[in-house]
Amino acid sequence: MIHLTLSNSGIGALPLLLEPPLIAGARKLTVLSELEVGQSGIVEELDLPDEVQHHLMHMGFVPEARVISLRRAPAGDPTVYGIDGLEIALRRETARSIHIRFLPDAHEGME
Amino acid sequence: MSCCTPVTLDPGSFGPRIAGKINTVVLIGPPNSGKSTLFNRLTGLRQKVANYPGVTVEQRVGHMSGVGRSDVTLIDLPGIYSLASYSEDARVAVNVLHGEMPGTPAPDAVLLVLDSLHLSRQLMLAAPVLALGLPTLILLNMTDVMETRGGEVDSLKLAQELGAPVAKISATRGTGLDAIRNFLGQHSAISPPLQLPVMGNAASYRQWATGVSTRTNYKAPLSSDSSRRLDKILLHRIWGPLLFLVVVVTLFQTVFAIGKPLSDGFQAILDLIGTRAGALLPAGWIQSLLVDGVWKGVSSVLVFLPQILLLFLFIGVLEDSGYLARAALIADRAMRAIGLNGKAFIPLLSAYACAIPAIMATRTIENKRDRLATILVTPFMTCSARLPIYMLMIAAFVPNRPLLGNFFGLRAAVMLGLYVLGFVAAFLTAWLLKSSILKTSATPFILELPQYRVPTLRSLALRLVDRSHVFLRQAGTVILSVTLVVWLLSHVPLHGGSFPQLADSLVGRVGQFIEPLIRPLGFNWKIGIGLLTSVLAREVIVGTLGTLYGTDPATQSLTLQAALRHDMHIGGAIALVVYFALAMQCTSTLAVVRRETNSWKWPAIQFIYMTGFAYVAALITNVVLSRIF
Repeated sequence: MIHLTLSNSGIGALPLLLEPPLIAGARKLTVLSELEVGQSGIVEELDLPDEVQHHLMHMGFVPEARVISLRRAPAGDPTVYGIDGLEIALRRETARSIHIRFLPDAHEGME
Repeated sequence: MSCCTPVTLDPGSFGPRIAGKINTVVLIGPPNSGKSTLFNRLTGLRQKVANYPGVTVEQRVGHMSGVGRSDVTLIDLPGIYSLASYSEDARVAVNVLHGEMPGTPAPDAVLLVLDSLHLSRQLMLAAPVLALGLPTLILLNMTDVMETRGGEVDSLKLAQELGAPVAKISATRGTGLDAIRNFLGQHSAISPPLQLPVMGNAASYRQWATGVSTRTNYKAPLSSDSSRRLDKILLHRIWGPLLFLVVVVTLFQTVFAIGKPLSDGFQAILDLIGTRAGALLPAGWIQSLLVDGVWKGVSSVLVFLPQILLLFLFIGVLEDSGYLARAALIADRAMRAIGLNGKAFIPLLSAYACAIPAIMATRTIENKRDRLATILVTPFMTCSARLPIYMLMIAAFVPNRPLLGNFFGLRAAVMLGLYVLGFVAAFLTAWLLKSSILKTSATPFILELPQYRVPTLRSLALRLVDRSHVFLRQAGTVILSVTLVVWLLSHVPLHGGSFPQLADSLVGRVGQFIEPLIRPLGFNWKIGIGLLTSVLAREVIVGTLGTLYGTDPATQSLTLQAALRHDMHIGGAIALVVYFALAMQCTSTLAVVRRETNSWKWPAIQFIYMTGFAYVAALITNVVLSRIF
């Protein structure tokens, strides 16, 4: 039983540690709050309390979803993100816990 | 539109689930799927709003007369993303679907509304709903918009994938509703045989939903640019907050500038009715009771109906157009400073109309302490029930001097000042609460910005009809009985067979008994009686004053405004509206707070705090103004 739990947690942690080296096109890992307005990324994982995470996933923040930073509120925060055809406003402290893969600007025209 | 007939799988292959007639149908769908529009469309005006017993979730029930089936009951479930029991809304939805909600009949069928613009995400709700095994019709809403924007979906294939009939509809235009009629006409339905992700978590539902949308050739439409272009201005760093301010100022000016002549006209009609009807009655105490007592009291409140409806219309437009969500975004920073998040802003703003729906709207705030803090400060926001006394006192005591040309006058400025006063009191109290007993760590702010829409006349009209009902019911019951009681008490005890002087009557004695307490605020005993009766509801004071001054021979011939000028100093008059801005005088609000917080403790604290606050503020106002004028 103990053995199982240990190996499970080990596996859970592995993929992050063993992220393949960055290939050409520089797909670097970052967090959502680091996106400038107009930039996009691909959601990797969410690191938030269960309830919040669940809510966000139902709004489209799931691994492999494409997210774009659309605009900041007049006061500079929260930021409006475009995901799955929706516009969702998040504060910086929440966006900081959403890990993403940075998409270079070359993909911009896709939206 | 051939697309709109439902696709039914071979009913023979699976045993019929129900053999009888469909009596009860539930309507379910994610938030912003157009569910409410569809509900209104299907039930028309014949709907009833109540609360599920024991919980704070609103229940809307109606008869499906919109598709010619008034014999079928339609239950509208709250908008939810999933059936997981994270929220109270979802728990209620599950109980209703299982037929385990006391007082609600078990459903015979389900209408599942999905927004076809975001089908792959919305399908996540389809899995747990279909897994219930109830006969289900899936309604793809807004397909007209989806198709014009270049989206598509194979609804036939979708029906096969889901094992349930699928229909394309537009709730806004009312197209495709035939499918619902056909679905209800079926006397047997099939239970879905499909392979659904059993252990439901968000990720597995998502995977399943993505699979289904790929297999049904779903192509998401291009997102509309118009909302983003509008946001470029409405959420602009400088123009955004500025336009927000303009919207608020315009709101007050409109209520004053357009509402006032409407109310005056209405007043003339009501007075005419009173005089005509009075002439038909024989002179004597019955005439006095009906004309001076009841009619003067009730009509002095009724005249404010046009202004209140105007205010509701304005707030309805802001809400339905999608602007209110932007206002929450603009306000988030300020709300954070007092420890709340921008979501609390939406209930606070809608409390300008009425605190009761606003307190119910706090259910969208996930954090319990944040929600409680919002509930406790909501009644400070200037609700429409304060308008009658504000309008009356301002019209009677504040000269109509232009400040910014003809657009913005002194009266509107005083009015705006009273609104700001309530707002500041709410903020101050929220800050106090959040930095003491209701302290929490920062809570996440997740807000979906809906696309801008032109509000439909239908939904605006529905709001106004609803509001008029509430107002007229209040005038016809509470205000009518209060004015009746006040008239009676002002005519006893009899003095050697004739009516007593007002000051010697029972009501006069009660008033004089409490007068020492309110004299420092600049109020006389008649105002004191008004304060006592208005604990029931704020607008009652106007009715009470109408009856009292109408009964008193000294002021009987004057209008209510002139009578007040005759009887009060400006210090007391302004102190009175300040008192009303801050005091908790609404038993319905207290009852709602009790229900939402599940204890008498919070409404009691709220009542004592607000009344104390109001007393002190009114005292200061009277003392200061009496020195100046």
